[in-house]
Amino acid sequence: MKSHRLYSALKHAVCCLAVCLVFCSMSQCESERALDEGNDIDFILSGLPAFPEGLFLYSSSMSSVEFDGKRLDCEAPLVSDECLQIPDFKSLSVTVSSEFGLAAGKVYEASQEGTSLDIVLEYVAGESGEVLSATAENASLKVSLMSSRYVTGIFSCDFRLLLPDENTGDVTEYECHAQDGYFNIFLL
Amino acid sequence: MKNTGSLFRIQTVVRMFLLISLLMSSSAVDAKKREAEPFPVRTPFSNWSAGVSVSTMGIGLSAATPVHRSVMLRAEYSLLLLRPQVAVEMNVAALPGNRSFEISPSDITAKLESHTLRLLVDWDPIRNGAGLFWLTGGIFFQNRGILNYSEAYDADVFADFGYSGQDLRKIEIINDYGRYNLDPDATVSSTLYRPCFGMYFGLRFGRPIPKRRVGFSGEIGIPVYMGKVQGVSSNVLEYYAPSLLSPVLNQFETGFRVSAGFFLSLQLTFRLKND
Repeated sequence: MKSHRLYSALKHAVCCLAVCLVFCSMSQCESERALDEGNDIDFILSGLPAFPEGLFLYSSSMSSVEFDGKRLDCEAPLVSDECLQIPDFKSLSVTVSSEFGLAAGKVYEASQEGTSLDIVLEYVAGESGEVLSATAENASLKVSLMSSRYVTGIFSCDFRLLLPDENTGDVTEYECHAQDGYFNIFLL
Repeated sequence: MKNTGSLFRIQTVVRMFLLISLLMSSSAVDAKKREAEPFPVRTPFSNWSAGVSVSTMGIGLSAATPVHRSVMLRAEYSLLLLRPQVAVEMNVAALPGNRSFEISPSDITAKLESHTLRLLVDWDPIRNGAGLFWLTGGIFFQNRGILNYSEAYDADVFADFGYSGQDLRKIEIINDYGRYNLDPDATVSSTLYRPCFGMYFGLRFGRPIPKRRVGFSGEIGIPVYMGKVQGVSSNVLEYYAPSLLSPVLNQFETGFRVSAGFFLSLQLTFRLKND
Protein backbone atom coordinates (compact mmCIF):
# COMPACT_ATOMS: atom_id res chain seq x y z
CA MET A 1 0.00 0.00 0.00
CA LYS A 2 2.73 2.41 1.01
CA SER A 3 4.78 1.71 -2.09
CA HIS A 4 1.66 2.16 -4.23
CA ARG A 5 1.00 5.59 -2.71
CA LEU A 6 4.61 6.56 -3.14
CA TYR A 7 4.53 5.50 -6.77
CA SER A 8 1.32 7.47 -7.35
CA ALA A 9 2.78 10.60 -5.74
CA LEU A 10 5.96 10.25 -7.78
CA LYS A 11 3.95 9.84 -10.96
CA HIS A 12 1.99 13.03 -10.24
CA ALA A 13 5.17 14.96 -9.47
CA VAL A 14 6.78 13.86 -12.72
CA CYS A 15 3.66 14.86 -14.66
CA CYS A 16 3.63 18.31 -13.07
CA LEU A 17 7.33 18.76 -13.78
CA ALA A 18 6.82 17.70 -17.39
CA VAL A 19 3.97 20.18 -17.82
CA CYS A 20 6.11 22.96 -16.35
CA LEU A 21 9.04 22.12 -18.59
CA VAL A 22 6.82 21.99 -21.67
CA PHE A 23 5.19 25.30 -20.75
CA CYS A 24 8.55 26.93 -20.06
CA SER A 25 9.93 25.77 -23.37
CA MET A 26 6.78 26.90 -25.21
CA SER A 27 6.77 30.38 -23.69
CA GLN A 28 10.45 30.88 -24.32
CA CYS A 29 9.87 29.75 -27.88
CA GLU A 30 7.43 32.59 -28.48
CA SER A 31 9.88 35.37 -27.66
CA GLU A 32 12.82 33.48 -29.18
CA ARG A 33 10.81 32.95 -32.35
CA ALA A 34 9.99 36.65 -32.51
CA LEU A 35 13.61 37.59 -31.92
CA ASP A 36 14.96 34.99 -34.34
CA GLU A 37 18.51 35.25 -32.96
CA GLY A 38 18.23 39.01 -33.24
CA ASN A 39 20.87 39.69 -35.88
CA ASP A 40 19.20 42.01 -38.32
CA ILE A 41 20.23 44.78 -40.66
CA ASP A 42 17.89 46.22 -43.23
CA PHE A 43 17.52 49.41 -45.22
CA ILE A 44 15.96 50.81 -48.38
CA LEU A 45 18.39 51.87 -51.10
CA SER A 46 16.85 54.58 -53.24
CA GLY A 47 18.22 56.19 -56.38
CA LEU A 48 18.70 53.01 -58.37
CA PRO A 49 17.32 53.45 -61.86
CA ALA A 50 15.93 49.92 -61.97
CA PHE A 51 14.08 50.40 -58.70
CA PRO A 52 12.42 53.81 -58.65
CA GLU A 53 10.62 53.07 -55.37
CA GLY A 54 13.76 51.83 -53.70
CA LEU A 55 15.35 48.44 -53.19
CA PHE A 56 14.89 46.68 -49.82
CA LEU A 57 18.11 45.04 -48.71
CA TYR A 58 18.40 43.02 -45.52
CA SER A 59 20.46 40.51 -43.61
CA SER A 60 19.51 38.03 -40.88
CA SER A 61 23.04 37.09 -39.91
CA MET A 62 26.40 38.67 -39.23
CA SER A 63 29.61 37.40 -40.78
CA SER A 64 31.59 39.21 -38.08
CA VAL A 65 30.90 41.23 -34.96
CA GLU A 66 33.40 42.96 -32.70
CA PHE A 67 32.42 45.12 -29.75
CA ASP A 68 34.42 46.49 -26.83
CA GLY A 69 32.16 49.22 -25.48
CA LYS A 70 33.82 51.99 -27.46
CA ARG A 71 33.85 50.41 -30.90
CA LEU A 72 31.35 48.33 -32.84
CA ASP A 73 32.54 46.63 -36.01
CA CYS A 74 30.20 44.32 -37.89
CA GLU A 75 29.70 42.96 -41.36
CA ALA A 76 26.51 41.45 -42.74
CA PRO A 77 25.88 39.63 -46.02
CA LEU A 78 23.00 41.31 -47.84
CA VAL A 79 19.99 39.67 -49.42
CA SER A 80 17.21 41.07 -51.57
CA ASP A 81 13.82 39.62 -52.43
CA GLU A 82 14.30 40.94 -55.97
CA CYS A 83 16.03 38.71 -58.50
CA LEU A 84 19.18 40.77 -58.70
CA GLN A 85 21.96 40.07 -61.12
CA ILE A 86 23.43 43.45 -61.76
CA PRO A 87 23.96 45.13 -59.40
CA ASP A 88 24.42 42.39 -56.88
CA PHE A 89 24.81 43.76 -53.37
CA LYS A 90 27.12 41.56 -51.35
CA SER A 91 27.58 42.99 -47.88
CA LEU A 92 27.33 45.99 -45.61
CA SER A 93 30.04 46.83 -43.11
CA VAL A 94 29.43 49.21 -40.23
CA THR A 95 32.18 50.51 -37.98
CA VAL A 96 31.32 53.08 -35.34
CA SER A 97 33.52 54.19 -32.49
CA SER A 98 33.55 56.90 -29.89
CA GLU A 99 36.32 57.75 -27.47
CA PHE A 100 33.63 58.38 -24.84
CA GLY A 101 32.10 54.95 -25.37
CA LEU A 102 28.98 53.91 -27.26
CA ALA A 103 25.73 54.60 -25.40
CA ALA A 104 22.00 54.36 -25.95
CA GLY A 105 20.27 57.51 -27.12
CA LYS A 106 23.40 58.89 -28.81
CA VAL A 107 23.73 59.91 -32.46
CA TYR A 108 27.08 59.31 -34.11
CA GLU A 109 28.34 61.08 -37.21
CA ALA A 110 31.74 61.04 -38.83
CA SER A 111 32.08 64.81 -38.45
CA GLN A 112 31.82 64.67 -34.65
CA GLU A 113 34.94 65.08 -32.60
CA GLY A 114 36.10 61.87 -31.06
CA THR A 115 33.79 59.80 -33.26
CA SER A 116 34.37 57.75 -36.36
CA LEU A 117 31.65 56.20 -38.50
CA ASP A 118 32.35 54.11 -41.58
CA ILE A 119 29.69 52.33 -43.59
CA VAL A 120 30.86 50.40 -46.63
CA LEU A 121 28.61 48.74 -49.21
CA GLU A 122 30.15 46.00 -51.34
CA TYR A 123 28.51 45.12 -54.64
CA VAL A 124 29.10 43.59 -58.01
CA ALA A 125 28.25 45.92 -60.87
CA GLY A 126 29.65 44.21 -63.96
CA GLU A 127 29.62 40.85 -65.60
CA SER A 128 33.26 40.44 -64.70
CA GLY A 129 32.21 39.80 -61.13
CA GLU A 130 34.54 42.44 -59.74
CA VAL A 131 33.48 43.45 -56.23
CA LEU A 132 33.32 47.19 -55.79
CA SER A 133 33.15 49.13 -52.51
CA ALA A 134 31.22 52.31 -51.88
CA THR A 135 31.98 54.25 -48.74
CA ALA A 136 29.07 56.11 -47.20
CA GLU A 137 28.85 59.87 -47.15
CA ASN A 138 26.78 61.98 -44.77
CA ALA A 139 26.41 58.92 -42.56
CA SER A 140 24.45 59.16 -39.35
CA LEU A 141 23.86 56.36 -36.87
CA LYS A 142 21.82 56.38 -33.65
CA VAL A 143 22.03 53.76 -30.95
CA SER A 144 18.45 53.44 -29.70
CA LEU A 145 19.01 50.61 -27.22
CA MET A 146 22.09 48.99 -25.75
CA SER A 147 22.29 46.10 -23.34
CA SER A 148 24.89 43.48 -22.54
CA ARG A 149 23.40 41.30 -25.26
CA TYR A 150 22.23 43.56 -28.06
CA VAL A 151 22.74 46.93 -29.66
CA THR A 152 19.81 48.31 -31.63
CA GLY A 153 19.43 51.43 -33.68
CA ILE A 154 18.93 53.24 -36.95
CA PHE A 155 21.19 54.68 -39.62
CA SER A 156 21.15 56.56 -42.90
CA CYS A 157 23.79 57.54 -45.42
CA ASP A 158 24.52 58.25 -49.07
CA PHE A 159 26.47 56.07 -51.50
CA ARG A 160 27.96 56.83 -54.89
CA LEU A 161 27.58 53.64 -56.89
CA LEU A 162 29.24 52.93 -60.20
CA LEU A 163 26.62 51.06 -62.18
CA PRO A 164 26.20 50.31 -65.91
CA ASP A 165 23.63 52.51 -67.57
CA GLU A 166 20.51 50.61 -68.61
CA ASN A 167 20.51 52.01 -72.14
CA THR A 168 24.11 52.60 -73.08
CA GLY A 169 25.84 50.11 -70.82
CA ASP A 170 28.42 52.72 -69.87
CA VAL A 171 29.47 52.86 -66.25
CA THR A 172 27.71 55.76 -64.59
CA GLU A 173 27.90 57.12 -61.08
CA TYR A 174 24.60 57.13 -59.27
CA GLU A 175 23.91 58.95 -56.04
CA CYS A 176 21.95 56.54 -53.90
CA HIS A 177 20.54 57.00 -50.45
CA ALA A 178 20.25 54.35 -47.74
CA GLN A 179 17.16 55.28 -45.75
CA ASP A 180 15.13 53.77 -42.93
CA GLY A 181 18.21 51.78 -41.94
CA TYR A 182 17.76 49.45 -38.96
CA PHE A 183 20.19 47.25 -37.08
CA ASN A 184 19.87 44.84 -34.17
CA ILE A 185 23.14 43.10 -33.44
CA PHE A 186 23.83 40.30 -30.98
CA LEU A 187 26.97 41.21 -29.08
CA LEU A 188 27.80 38.08 -27.10
CA MET B 1 37.85 29.86 45.78
CA LYS B 2 35.77 26.99 44.58
CA ASN B 3 33.70 26.93 47.73
CA THR B 4 33.01 30.69 47.44
CA GLY B 5 31.86 30.29 43.79
CA SER B 6 29.53 27.45 44.64
CA LEU B 7 27.99 29.37 47.53
CA PHE B 8 27.36 32.35 45.24
CA ARG B 9 25.65 30.15 42.65
CA ILE B 10 23.41 28.54 45.27
CA GLN B 11 22.44 31.94 46.66
CA THR B 12 21.57 33.18 43.12
CA VAL B 13 19.35 30.19 42.41
CA VAL B 14 17.53 30.59 45.71
CA ARG B 15 16.95 34.33 45.06
CA MET B 16 15.57 33.59 41.56
CA PHE B 17 13.24 30.92 42.96
CA LEU B 18 11.90 33.26 45.63
CA LEU B 19 11.36 36.03 43.05
CA ILE B 20 9.47 33.77 40.68
CA SER B 21 7.33 32.41 43.52
CA LEU B 22 6.48 35.94 44.63
CA LEU B 23 5.44 36.92 41.11
CA MET B 24 3.30 33.81 40.65
CA SER B 25 1.54 34.25 43.95
CA SER B 26 0.74 37.92 43.26
CA SER B 27 -0.70 37.07 39.82
CA ALA B 28 -2.77 34.30 41.37
CA VAL B 29 -4.14 36.83 43.85
CA ASP B 30 -5.01 39.18 40.94
CA ALA B 31 -6.71 36.35 39.06
CA LYS B 32 -8.77 35.50 42.11
CA LYS B 33 -9.70 39.14 42.49
CA ARG B 34 -10.76 39.26 38.85
CA GLU B 35 -12.79 36.08 39.28
CA ALA B 36 -14.52 37.61 42.24
CA GLU B 37 -15.62 40.72 40.28
CA PRO B 38 -19.06 40.22 38.71
CA PHE B 39 -19.23 40.50 34.88
CA PRO B 40 -21.39 43.45 33.82
CA VAL B 41 -24.70 42.58 32.19
CA ARG B 42 -24.82 44.75 29.11
CA THR B 43 -28.10 45.99 27.68
CA PRO B 44 -28.61 47.23 24.11
CA PHE B 45 -26.24 50.09 23.29
CA SER B 46 -25.19 50.40 26.93
CA ASN B 47 -21.53 50.52 26.04
CA TRP B 48 -19.15 50.90 23.13
CA SER B 49 -15.70 49.82 22.20
CA ALA B 50 -13.18 50.96 19.65
CA GLY B 51 -10.43 48.79 18.31
CA VAL B 52 -7.41 48.73 16.08
CA SER B 53 -6.37 45.58 14.30
CA VAL B 54 -3.89 43.99 12.01
CA SER B 55 -5.30 41.32 9.74
CA THR B 56 -5.03 39.61 6.40
CA MET B 57 -7.27 42.42 5.08
CA GLY B 58 -4.87 45.11 6.27
CA ILE B 59 -4.89 47.58 9.10
CA GLY B 60 -8.33 48.08 10.60
CA LEU B 61 -10.49 50.23 12.83
CA SER B 62 -13.54 48.79 14.51
CA ALA B 63 -16.42 49.71 16.75
CA ALA B 64 -18.73 47.42 18.71
CA THR B 65 -21.85 47.78 20.81
CA PRO B 66 -24.11 45.26 22.55
CA VAL B 67 -27.62 44.54 21.33
CA HIS B 68 -28.08 41.83 23.95
CA ARG B 69 -26.00 40.63 26.89
CA SER B 70 -24.50 37.95 24.66
CA VAL B 71 -24.77 39.55 21.21
CA MET B 72 -22.63 42.39 19.90
CA LEU B 73 -22.85 44.37 16.70
CA ARG B 74 -19.48 45.19 15.23
CA ALA B 75 -18.32 47.22 12.26
CA GLU B 76 -14.76 47.07 11.02
CA TYR B 77 -12.98 48.91 8.23
CA SER B 78 -9.68 47.56 6.92
CA LEU B 79 -7.19 49.10 4.55
CA LEU B 80 -4.37 47.38 2.74
CA LEU B 81 -1.97 49.41 0.58
CA LEU B 82 0.98 47.77 -1.09
CA ARG B 83 3.35 48.72 -3.85
CA PRO B 84 5.15 45.46 -4.55
CA GLN B 85 8.51 45.63 -6.24
CA VAL B 86 8.45 43.84 -9.58
CA ALA B 87 11.66 42.58 -11.14
CA VAL B 88 12.40 44.13 -14.51
CA GLU B 89 12.76 41.51 -17.22
CA MET B 90 13.79 41.64 -20.83
CA ASN B 91 10.90 41.39 -23.24
CA VAL B 92 10.85 41.38 -27.04
CA ALA B 93 9.32 44.19 -29.07
CA ALA B 94 8.10 43.06 -32.49
CA LEU B 95 7.56 45.79 -35.05
CA PRO B 96 5.74 45.40 -38.35
CA GLY B 97 8.12 44.33 -41.09
CA ASN B 98 9.86 41.55 -39.14
CA ARG B 99 11.89 43.88 -36.96
CA SER B 100 12.27 42.70 -33.38
CA PHE B 101 14.58 43.52 -30.53
CA GLU B 102 14.93 43.09 -26.80
CA ILE B 103 13.57 45.82 -24.59
CA SER B 104 12.79 46.14 -20.91
CA PRO B 105 10.19 48.43 -19.35
CA SER B 106 11.59 51.76 -18.25
CA ASP B 107 9.12 51.81 -15.36
CA ILE B 108 6.88 49.24 -13.71
CA THR B 109 4.04 50.30 -11.42
CA ALA B 110 2.17 47.79 -9.29
CA LYS B 111 -0.35 49.06 -6.75
CA LEU B 112 -2.50 46.94 -4.52
CA GLU B 113 -5.27 48.84 -2.74
CA SER B 114 -7.89 47.04 -0.71
CA HIS B 115 -10.77 48.63 1.25
CA THR B 116 -13.02 46.31 3.24
CA LEU B 117 -16.00 47.11 5.42
CA ARG B 118 -17.30 44.26 7.58
CA LEU B 119 -20.64 44.35 9.39
CA LEU B 120 -20.65 41.56 11.93
CA VAL B 121 -22.62 39.99 14.74
CA ASP B 122 -20.64 38.44 17.60
CA TRP B 123 -22.41 35.87 19.75
CA ASP B 124 -21.34 34.23 22.97
CA PRO B 125 -23.43 31.04 23.08
CA ILE B 126 -21.96 29.68 26.30
CA ARG B 127 -21.40 32.31 28.98
CA ASN B 128 -23.96 35.02 28.15
CA GLY B 129 -21.41 37.62 27.14
CA ALA B 130 -18.83 36.85 29.79
CA GLY B 131 -16.96 34.28 27.75
CA LEU B 132 -13.79 34.64 25.77
CA PHE B 133 -14.91 32.61 22.76
CA TRP B 134 -17.40 34.20 20.42
CA LEU B 135 -18.92 33.08 17.15
CA THR B 136 -18.87 35.80 14.59
CA GLY B 137 -20.58 36.20 11.24
CA GLY B 138 -21.85 38.81 8.89
CA ILE B 139 -21.36 40.47 5.53
CA PHE B 140 -18.59 42.51 4.04
CA PHE B 141 -18.13 44.94 1.19
CA GLN B 142 -14.88 45.63 -0.61
CA ASN B 143 -13.63 47.68 -3.53
CA ARG B 144 -13.66 45.91 -6.85
CA GLY B 145 -10.42 46.93 -8.51
CA ILE B 146 -7.75 45.68 -6.18
CA LEU B 147 -4.55 45.53 -8.23
CA ASN B 148 -3.37 47.92 -10.91
CA TYR B 149 -0.30 46.96 -12.93
CA SER B 150 1.42 48.98 -15.61
CA GLU B 151 4.61 48.69 -17.65
CA ALA B 152 5.90 51.80 -19.37
CA TYR B 153 8.33 51.62 -22.27
CA ASP B 154 10.56 54.36 -23.65
CA ALA B 155 8.49 55.96 -26.41
CA ASP B 156 11.60 57.60 -27.87
CA VAL B 157 12.93 54.18 -28.87
CA PHE B 158 9.85 53.45 -30.93
CA ALA B 159 9.87 56.98 -32.33
CA ASP B 160 13.31 56.21 -33.78
CA PHE B 161 11.64 53.55 -35.90
CA GLY B 162 8.79 55.80 -36.95
CA TYR B 163 6.14 54.74 -34.43
CA SER B 164 4.40 57.13 -32.11
CA GLY B 165 0.91 57.82 -30.81
CA GLN B 166 -1.75 55.52 -32.23
CA ASP B 167 0.87 53.76 -34.39
CA LEU B 168 2.28 52.21 -31.22
CA ARG B 169 -0.70 49.85 -31.23
CA LYS B 170 0.99 48.07 -34.14
CA ILE B 171 3.90 47.07 -31.90
CA GLU B 172 3.74 43.82 -29.97
CA ILE B 173 5.47 43.19 -26.67
CA ILE B 174 6.23 39.51 -26.16
CA ASN B 175 7.20 38.00 -22.83
CA ASP B 176 6.98 34.67 -21.06
CA TYR B 177 3.26 35.06 -20.45
CA GLY B 178 1.84 36.35 -23.71
CA ARG B 179 1.72 38.94 -26.47
CA TYR B 180 0.50 42.45 -25.88
CA ASN B 181 0.09 45.58 -27.95
CA LEU B 182 1.16 48.97 -26.70
CA ASP B 183 -1.15 51.79 -25.79
CA PRO B 184 -0.54 55.16 -27.51
CA ASP B 185 1.43 56.24 -24.44
CA ALA B 186 3.77 53.22 -24.81
CA THR B 187 2.35 51.36 -21.82
CA VAL B 188 0.89 47.95 -21.15
CA SER B 189 -1.47 47.75 -18.22
CA SER B 190 -4.04 45.61 -16.49
CA THR B 191 -6.38 45.62 -13.50
CA LEU B 192 -7.39 42.74 -11.28
CA TYR B 193 -11.04 42.84 -10.19
CA ARG B 194 -12.58 40.88 -7.33
CA PRO B 195 -16.10 40.42 -5.97
CA CYS B 196 -17.51 43.41 -4.09
CA PHE B 197 -19.62 41.47 -1.63
CA GLY B 198 -19.35 38.42 0.53
CA MET B 199 -20.27 36.70 3.74
CA TYR B 200 -18.05 35.93 6.67
CA PHE B 201 -17.99 33.22 9.34
CA GLY B 202 -15.44 33.05 12.06
CA LEU B 203 -14.35 32.42 15.61
CA ARG B 204 -13.17 35.18 17.90
CA PHE B 205 -11.04 34.83 20.99
CA GLY B 206 -11.49 37.89 23.21
CA ARG B 207 -14.51 39.99 24.09
CA PRO B 208 -15.71 42.59 21.53
CA ILE B 209 -16.14 44.95 24.48
CA PRO B 210 -13.48 44.07 27.02
CA LYS B 211 -14.25 43.69 30.70
CA ARG B 212 -11.41 46.00 31.66
CA ARG B 213 -10.49 49.21 29.88
CA VAL B 214 -8.21 47.54 27.34
CA GLY B 215 -8.53 44.07 25.84
CA PHE B 216 -6.67 41.97 23.36
CA SER B 217 -8.35 39.55 20.94
CA GLY B 218 -7.77 37.39 17.94
CA GLU B 219 -10.02 36.18 15.18
CA ILE B 220 -9.91 33.49 12.55
CA GLY B 221 -12.49 32.95 9.88
CA ILE B 222 -13.54 32.24 6.35
CA PRO B 223 -14.72 35.00 4.02
CA VAL B 224 -16.96 33.69 1.25
CA TYR B 225 -16.81 35.85 -1.85
CA MET B 226 -19.84 36.22 -4.11
CA GLY B 227 -18.76 36.94 -7.64
CA LYS B 228 -16.00 36.32 -10.13
CA VAL B 229 -12.39 37.35 -10.15
CA GLN B 230 -11.44 39.08 -13.38
CA GLY B 231 -8.24 40.23 -14.95
CA VAL B 232 -8.84 42.99 -17.45
CA SER B 233 -6.28 44.29 -19.89
CA SER B 234 -6.94 45.99 -23.21
CA ASN B 235 -3.45 45.11 -24.34
CA VAL B 236 -3.64 41.32 -24.36
CA LEU B 237 -3.36 39.77 -27.83
CA GLU B 238 -2.58 36.26 -26.70
CA TYR B 239 -1.99 34.72 -23.30
CA TYR B 240 -0.28 31.37 -23.10
CA ALA B 241 0.57 31.00 -19.40
CA PRO B 242 -1.60 29.50 -16.68
CA SER B 243 -3.46 32.27 -14.86
CA LEU B 244 -1.94 31.24 -11.57
CA LEU B 245 1.51 32.21 -12.81
CA SER B 246 0.53 35.73 -13.61
CA PRO B 247 -2.78 37.19 -12.46
CA VAL B 248 -1.67 40.51 -13.94
CA LEU B 249 -1.24 41.33 -17.62
CA ASN B 250 -3.92 38.81 -18.30
CA GLN B 251 -7.45 38.84 -19.59
CA PHE B 252 -9.38 36.19 -17.70
CA GLU B 253 -12.45 35.51 -15.64
CA THR B 254 -12.84 32.74 -13.12
CA GLY B 255 -15.56 30.25 -13.90
CA PHE B 256 -16.88 29.97 -10.37
CA ARG B 257 -19.09 32.61 -8.75
CA VAL B 258 -18.50 31.60 -5.13
CA SER B 259 -15.04 31.28 -3.60
CA ALA B 260 -13.64 31.21 -0.10
CA GLY B 261 -10.55 32.64 1.52
CA PHE B 262 -8.86 32.79 4.88
CA PHE B 263 -8.95 35.55 7.48
CA LEU B 264 -6.76 36.11 10.51
CA SER B 265 -6.77 39.14 12.76
CA LEU B 266 -5.19 40.46 15.95
CA GLN B 267 -7.01 43.29 17.68
CA LEU B 268 -6.53 45.75 20.51
CA THR B 269 -9.86 46.91 21.93
CA PHE B 270 -10.68 49.85 24.17
CA ARG B 271 -13.86 50.03 26.27
CA LEU B 272 -15.23 53.55 25.92
CA LYS B 273 -17.72 53.74 28.81
CA ASN B 274 -17.80 52.47 32.34
CA ASP B 275 -20.25 49.65 32.95
